[in-house]
Amino acid sequence: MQSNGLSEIKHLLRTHRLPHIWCPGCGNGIITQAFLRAVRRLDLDPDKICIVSGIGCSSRVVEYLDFDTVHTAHGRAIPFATGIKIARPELNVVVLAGDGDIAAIGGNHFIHGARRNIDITVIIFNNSNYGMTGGQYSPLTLFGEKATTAPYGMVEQPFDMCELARGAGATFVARSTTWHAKKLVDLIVQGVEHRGFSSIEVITGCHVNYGKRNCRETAVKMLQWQKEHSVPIERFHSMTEEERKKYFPVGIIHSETRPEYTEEYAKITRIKRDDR
Amino acid sequence: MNSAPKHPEQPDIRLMQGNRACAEAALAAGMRFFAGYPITPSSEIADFLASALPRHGGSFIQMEDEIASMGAVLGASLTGVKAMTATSGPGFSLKQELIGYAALCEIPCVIVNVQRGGPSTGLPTSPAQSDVMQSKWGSHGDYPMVVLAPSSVKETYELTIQAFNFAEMLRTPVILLSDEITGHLYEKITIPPPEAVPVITRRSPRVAPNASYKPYLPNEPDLVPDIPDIGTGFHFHTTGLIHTPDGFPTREPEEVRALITRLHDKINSRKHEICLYEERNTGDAELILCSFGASSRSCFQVVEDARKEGRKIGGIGLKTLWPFPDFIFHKLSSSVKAILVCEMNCGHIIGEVERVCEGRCRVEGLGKCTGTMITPSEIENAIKRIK
Amino acid sequence: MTDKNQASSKVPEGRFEIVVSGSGGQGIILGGKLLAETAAVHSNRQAAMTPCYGPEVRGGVSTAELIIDSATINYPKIIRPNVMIAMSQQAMDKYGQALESHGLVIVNTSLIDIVPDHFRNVFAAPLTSVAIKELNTPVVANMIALGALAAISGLISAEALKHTIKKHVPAKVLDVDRQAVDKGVELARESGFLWRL
Repeated sequence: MQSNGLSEIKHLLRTHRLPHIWCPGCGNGIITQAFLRAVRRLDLDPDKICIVSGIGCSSRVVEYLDFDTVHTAHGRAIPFATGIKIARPELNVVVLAGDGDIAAIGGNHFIHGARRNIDITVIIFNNSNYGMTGGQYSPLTLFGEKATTAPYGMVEQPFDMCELARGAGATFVARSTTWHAKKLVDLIVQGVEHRGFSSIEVITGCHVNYGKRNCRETAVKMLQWQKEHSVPIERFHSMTEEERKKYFPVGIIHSETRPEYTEEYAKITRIKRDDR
Repeated sequence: MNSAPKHPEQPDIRLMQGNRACAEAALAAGMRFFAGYPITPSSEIADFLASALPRHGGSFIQMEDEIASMGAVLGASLTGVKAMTATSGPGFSLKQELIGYAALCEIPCVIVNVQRGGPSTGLPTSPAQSDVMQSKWGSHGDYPMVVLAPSSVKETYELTIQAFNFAEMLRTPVILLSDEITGHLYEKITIPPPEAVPVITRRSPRVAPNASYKPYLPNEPDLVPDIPDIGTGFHFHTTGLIHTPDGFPTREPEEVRALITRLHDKINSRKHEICLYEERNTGDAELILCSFGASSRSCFQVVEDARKEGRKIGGIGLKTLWPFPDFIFHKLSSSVKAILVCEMNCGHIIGEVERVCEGRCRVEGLGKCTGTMITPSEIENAIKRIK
Repeated sequence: MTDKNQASSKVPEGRFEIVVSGSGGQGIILGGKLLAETAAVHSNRQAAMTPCYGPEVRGGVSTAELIIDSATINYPKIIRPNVMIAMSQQAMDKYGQALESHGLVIVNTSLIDIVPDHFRNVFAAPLTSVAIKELNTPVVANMIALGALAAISGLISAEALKHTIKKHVPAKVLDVDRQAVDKGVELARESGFLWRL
């Protein structure tokens, strides 16, 4: 069992890069901690982990993690990760990025990574808005909620990232929240262990930009909202259509086995190599 | 066409398309990762590499878009693999942000742009040379760029190898700026044996992984850092933010200046080595025809025709467009009466020639943007207008 | 190989600008490639070939423009062609006017009725009909044309051409392609046609 102390994961942090840039009460730290606990529990070789991020508050996480880390351009974490994984299939390649990065500007890469079923793990820090630029709406901003660019309430419908991932072909799809900090570790462990494209959406709080415009102006209220609006996937299944509209299912939404991209490509290479 | 000669002592003479020569040369230079997206007139490069790379133990992937293919190339290159993409105008525009990323983060890679007519969708199957300025200035911010422009199938082969060597030696993206004419042209080429191909590979760190290693600390005298490959234990950080030699972000003015100037200096200080060009009959020439890529062949045709008639015309075919080979023109502009710059665009290289000649000789332009090649007779007409 | 020496002894010197043109699907670009490769690989000459086609894969005019030269080829495009293989009326109409009046024209009369009357050297033969009648397929009309060109012009040798074909076509069609080349040579020889410059 993991301990609750930070001592177990401190060696996986670039402590000289701290303090981090996140606001007090931000949920990003909870996800970071859960990820490192998962690395520890899986006993992964730190030399064989590569973390790739995009642009935004959450993407700055890579600066604090003591692995090979790539802070790419906005939306492009998955293409970089794809190139890294193809060139070095033995690496554990993990993408840590926000909802604007993965669902909006990088949305095309997300669905195609899922379709290919390439063995990378994508952890989406979903704070429902663009925090770094001051609180604009994202494709995951809830209908009717406010953002600087949705001052009268959001009139667009949000993506359900888990359904999007499953529909696109991801073979491991999970959702959690920063309220479920301990369960999140379990999900990340399973996502990284899974051979194929793993998508783990984590609902996190940005009380400073998002919460304050939507009656959740403190970190505690953000966490309470997560607790009140999420139900385990098993319970979600037994709900009526009407009830389901009020909740997010959390847990493993979908898991299946399908041929993984780099393994399939390696088969071709094995047959064709030196056949010239 | 596919089969190498059975007797190695026999020269490997083939009829080959320019795009194919680019792909073959990339393999000879050690390229083992290609990511691309279908676009005319560059698709033959991807088509061939999709089948050839697995045979060489490499990887090919067709990504979901042009940006993704550029991203995948950079990811692969960060692991130490020589990587390339190929595109044309619209795709080249889409790749620009990540080309700037590669320049800043010093990620070696080769980007092939088989130029077609633009702007926008333009003329997908017709030639142009109108991406010259974009190839230098296309991404935002100040960064240097190495751009090579082949004029024949043979030169496509040679310059593709050179592009990889410059990319690895300088740790920088290099653009091979081909065009529809050169890319689609089939010509006779003698493929050199592998041992005759000079291949340069990036330096690795000279020390074992340690916590104090600074991946972006430049070496003297080439100002190129020994950046580790991902997966080799260095736990280093790559970021598109301006960074210090340790790889982490900074906004300190002196540190910002140090990085930006070093990126320029590592390339500009070796201009004489990087700037390749071909001179024909320039010694006693009164008029110089200056061009690059496919257009230089029209110029050399006119030079040849003129010399048969005793006219003192010479030619310069630029193989390196950026950094701009200003030193050639410093010398020439004092000895000739005029330079006629011939290019399939509305005036790109002529601006550079005018800038470096500083009024010492006349500089005239023949710019053609019709989606067709400049003909020798059009150059002859332009010469008549000068006299 | 002996053939190479024989061929090079009678190869015409200088720059030849050649147009091979017809409809998409007639193997025009392949014909152009075979001609250029045979000249480039089986002799000391240079060759440059530009394929020209519209966006459609079948139908429309398809053209291969070639230069064969004993010296370095600078300008790689045709200016004033002096050899043409015309496989369709559309091709004849599109490129016919550009040809030099003393140039050599090989006309596929199966698909061409109208030939500009100022040409002095027209070798006319129903290439497509011959291909169907003698070799049971219209698609080798291009090979018959190349065989005829080899016999008439000496720009390439028929034997070297057959070597090149072997490298490019699948084994199952190799025989019929070779027979088609021989048929073209035979048609040209039997006609007693001479290219008068």
